[in-house]
Amino acid sequence: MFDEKELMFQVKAGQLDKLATLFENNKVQLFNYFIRTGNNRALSEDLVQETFMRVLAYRTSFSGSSTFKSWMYGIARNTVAEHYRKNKNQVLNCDMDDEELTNEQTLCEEFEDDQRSNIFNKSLASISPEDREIIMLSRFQQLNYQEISTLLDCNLNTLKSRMRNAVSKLQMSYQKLVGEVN
Amino acid sequence: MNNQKIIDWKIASLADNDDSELSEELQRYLAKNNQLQEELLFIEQFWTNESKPLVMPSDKLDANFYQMLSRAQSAEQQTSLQQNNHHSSVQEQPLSLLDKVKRWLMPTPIAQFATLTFVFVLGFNLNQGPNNDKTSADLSVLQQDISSLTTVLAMSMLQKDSASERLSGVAYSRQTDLSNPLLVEQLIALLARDKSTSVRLAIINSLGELKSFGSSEQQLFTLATKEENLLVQIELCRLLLNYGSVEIKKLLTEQVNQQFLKPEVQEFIKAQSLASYI
Amino acid sequence: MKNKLSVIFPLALIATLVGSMQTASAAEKNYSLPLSKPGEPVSIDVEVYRGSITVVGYKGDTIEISAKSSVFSGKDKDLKKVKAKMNKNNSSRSTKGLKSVKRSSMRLEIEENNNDVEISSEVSNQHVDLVIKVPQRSSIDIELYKGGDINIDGISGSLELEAYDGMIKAKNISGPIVAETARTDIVVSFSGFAKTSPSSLTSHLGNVDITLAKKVAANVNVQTYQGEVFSGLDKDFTVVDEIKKNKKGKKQKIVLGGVMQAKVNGGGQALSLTSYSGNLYIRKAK
Repeated sequence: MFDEKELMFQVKAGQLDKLATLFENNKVQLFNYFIRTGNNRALSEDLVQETFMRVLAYRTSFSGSSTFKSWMYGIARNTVAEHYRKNKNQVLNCDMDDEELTNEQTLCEEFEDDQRSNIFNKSLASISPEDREIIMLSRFQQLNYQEISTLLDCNLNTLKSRMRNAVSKLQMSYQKLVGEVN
Repeated sequence: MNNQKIIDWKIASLADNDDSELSEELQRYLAKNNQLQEELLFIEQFWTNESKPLVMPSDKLDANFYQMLSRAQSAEQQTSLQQNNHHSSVQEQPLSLLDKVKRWLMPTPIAQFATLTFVFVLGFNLNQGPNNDKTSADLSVLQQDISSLTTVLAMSMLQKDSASERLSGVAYSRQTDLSNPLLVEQLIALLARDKSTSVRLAIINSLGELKSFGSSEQQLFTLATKEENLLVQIELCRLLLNYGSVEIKKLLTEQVNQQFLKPEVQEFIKAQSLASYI
Repeated sequence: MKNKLSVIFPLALIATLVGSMQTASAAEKNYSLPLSKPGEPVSIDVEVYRGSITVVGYKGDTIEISAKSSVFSGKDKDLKKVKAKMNKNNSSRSTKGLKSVKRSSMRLEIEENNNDVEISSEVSNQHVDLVIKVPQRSSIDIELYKGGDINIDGISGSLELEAYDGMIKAKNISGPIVAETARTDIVVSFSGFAKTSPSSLTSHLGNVDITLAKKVAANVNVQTYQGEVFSGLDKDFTVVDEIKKNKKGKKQKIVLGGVMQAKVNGGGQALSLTSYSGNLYIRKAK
């Protein structure tokens, strides 16, 4: 098991080929992160490419104060924010009607075998973007508290409290949806 | 208060790999609290729920990434090659950067374009980057690189056979504010021997951007006195009168030098001196 | 509606007398030159010492050359001395019983190499009128030393034209164009304006007269020392140099010869018109 931080330091030192390992290791998760935030396939691929271009461009600014993943997701978030700022799009939610998505598995896919899973996803989609993000970074991108707190630039206690609130909102939304179904 | 602590503990156990145990007191509290237990169950289920299989990106993503990486690698190789070959001195620093970039551009037109695109996109990306001191340091290095890139582009266009492309080269040099002495040298050399009057006039106009002529001033003066082309001669004199040093202006107006100038140019200088004050 | 260019010869124009041209014998030849790489970019390089050159763009993919040559036995003002010398050397011998052989052979060199076409006539006493049909996309480079005019019609490629004796006339072009004359006029009608690289029309003593199609976007720069500038554009010309001078904090004002600029249709690639004593005319197409 290689150490990502170590690899990134090597990239910083000029061994650019090491970036390939970091890419292979993170591309799928990163791609799914963009999909989960409501982007279609093509855009998500572009955003992955853009993120790694910036990882390369900013390599000298990697300090190792947090993990590579945390740093990379920071860049990823900025990349998305930048994209939407320039394109003035709304962050997509479940109700979005995109023909491109009809054949693909996304957060908003309508019919699933596991209805509970579906309701989980719907609840996630219905809470605020800030709350959703903190849960996604933790649950899906599997960043630990330290990584997330560096990423979101808040202290640990604030993070815990934000996490708690987000989960609470999630639960409320879930119960509401379950109630509707039943 | 206890609720909060317990929920925090539960989330941390799932989200942060925290395997600490609840205190006895809190365990007792939890045992009595059904609603809280439900909440914990929800959290557990959400975190451990069989999530959908991951969506796989297309081959295009890999292709694009590796293409970008290989371009960056070849650029990096050229840089380290140059650094090994050059003696680094304070004066030569801007030169070696220039040569580095020159090498990037030399290969083929397609490679040139690819490299340019890459660097410009990089520069574009850097401009949107997170705001911290390290990034702004990178940014200024890249801005320097881009200015060097424009310089190299200018220098390569100035060597083209087509007059219009040479005019492009002059236009590019203006964008660099003529900060590179090699470029200025090339412009003045071209001014002396280019067969197109249009190009020579464009060069004279661009030389007006220079903060000071320095040693080139004498060179330009000599050029002016030897010049056969009326438009070029008059423009050179106009340039020196407007932006040249006091000494050169004196030289231009001295009789002994005036004999080398065409009558139209002599007239012009007289009119200029009358209309302006130095 | 095509704008008919009315070519004005102002009184200030100094016309060069080339001397009477006596056509001894005329020869006419037509050539059709296929391209090595049809469909690909074409460059045409024409160098004629004496004659006139007309280039017309068409939709075909071959080079059609029509050349009419005649012997020039007139006098060039600046070649008088040289001719005199030559006459001295050719001491005439008896022509009794001999017939004068008419020199009807034309000396014209035509070369094509991978779509690069070179046409040259370097003979000083041969006047060649060339009419060349080329693919519209061709890039053209012409040097005409003496004789008549350069005429261009319907070319979308880049143009580099030098005429030392005759006029340069171009219509239905979009450039980029770099053209130069000594004492004669340059008359150009732009149906479009290329963004790729700058254009520049320079005449020392002649006029520069341009017409811009409605959609043309360009930064038009004008500079003349002794002539006047006439503009039919909506946009006004403003002095460029003056702005530069203010930046540097000097107080001198440009009285003569300053560059003035007008941005047409929002501005675009640079189009510079320069003359020492000729006038500059900037017209809008109807």
